[in-house]
Amino acid sequence: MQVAALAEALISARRPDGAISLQELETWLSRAGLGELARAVASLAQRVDDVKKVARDPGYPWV
Amino acid sequence: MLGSLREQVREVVSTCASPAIRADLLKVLGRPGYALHPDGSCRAGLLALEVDQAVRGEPPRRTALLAAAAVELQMEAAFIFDEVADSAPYEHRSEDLALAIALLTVGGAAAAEAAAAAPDPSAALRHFSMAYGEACAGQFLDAMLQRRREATLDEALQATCLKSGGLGKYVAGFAARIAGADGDGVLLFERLGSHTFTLAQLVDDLRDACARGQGSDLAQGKATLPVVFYGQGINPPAPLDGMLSADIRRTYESSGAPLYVAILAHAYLSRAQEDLSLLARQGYAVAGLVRFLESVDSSAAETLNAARGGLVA
Repeated sequence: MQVAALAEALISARRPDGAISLQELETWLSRAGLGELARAVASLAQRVDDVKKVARDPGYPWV
Repeated sequence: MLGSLREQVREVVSTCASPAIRADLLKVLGRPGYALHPDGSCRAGLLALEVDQAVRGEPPRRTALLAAAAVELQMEAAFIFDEVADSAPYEHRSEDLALAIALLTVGGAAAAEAAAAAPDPSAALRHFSMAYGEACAGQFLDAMLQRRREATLDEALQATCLKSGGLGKYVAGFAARIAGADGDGVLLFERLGSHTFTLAQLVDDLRDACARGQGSDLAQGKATLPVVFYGQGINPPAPLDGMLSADIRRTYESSGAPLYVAILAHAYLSRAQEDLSLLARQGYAVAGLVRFLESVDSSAAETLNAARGGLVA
């Protein structure tokens, strides 16, 4: 697995305020031909979305 | 299955170990995190049992339980070596190492008995010995990189894949051979084991990187992927006297290291899911293995979700 390329991509995707956009990271990795890592970012983004949805659900006030 | 596995481990130790140290072996296996402790996960033995069920499509017989106990005992021996390597010198170190070697021999005896019922006993035993050696190579590389203090990300991944992926490949490959899987099936089970255990190791490394106290991987300068990634930042503050300051914690959290390892963990999760699909297409009954992977993933969920700080999805 291209661990050094992923590290480089992550640093490149960082915004001036320090935040990292998963969408931009996914695009960067796809363009660099790192499809497997791009799909992993998409999967992580989906997980983040799911957690946010659960957190907004009044049935789960403890999240 | 966990209860039956623990019972088999106890039986193997009670019948194969020297009477002089049986009680000590059972005592060490009852420590927190080990196989006979109520919270012990017995991941190696359970994976072996799920592989057996996937191949034979029925509940495990004695041979499968023996094979599972054999790989679990080898895994427990590796835990002891890990614990000794990570701890400052203490008075029980040499006793623990002797017990670890005893567990290896007891595990070998159980493996020989299980292999006797395999379609190709010598191939099964050859794998049992050689594949465990791959994991040992990973342990060696891991220790060497920690001492050298300047590991690259590629070296850290190689150590992780050899050490933990190697154990998963060893466990799944042995169980598949004992159960009578065909050549292609054995290779797929080995890949599944390797990817699943690498995923579990990445999640452990993520959790332990910045843990509180002196036991964190960052404080100890371990060559795990999150620690190596953090060390490659611009002048990252280093722990003093093995203690992590609040400043170091903040720098670590904002370094991107947790996100970096979470992405890699998801990549290995996808690989394991793909292996399961291929096994299902070949006609293996993978429902138990799907649940096994889900249990690894759900125990990882909290750690992976914690890595999402500073993200803009």
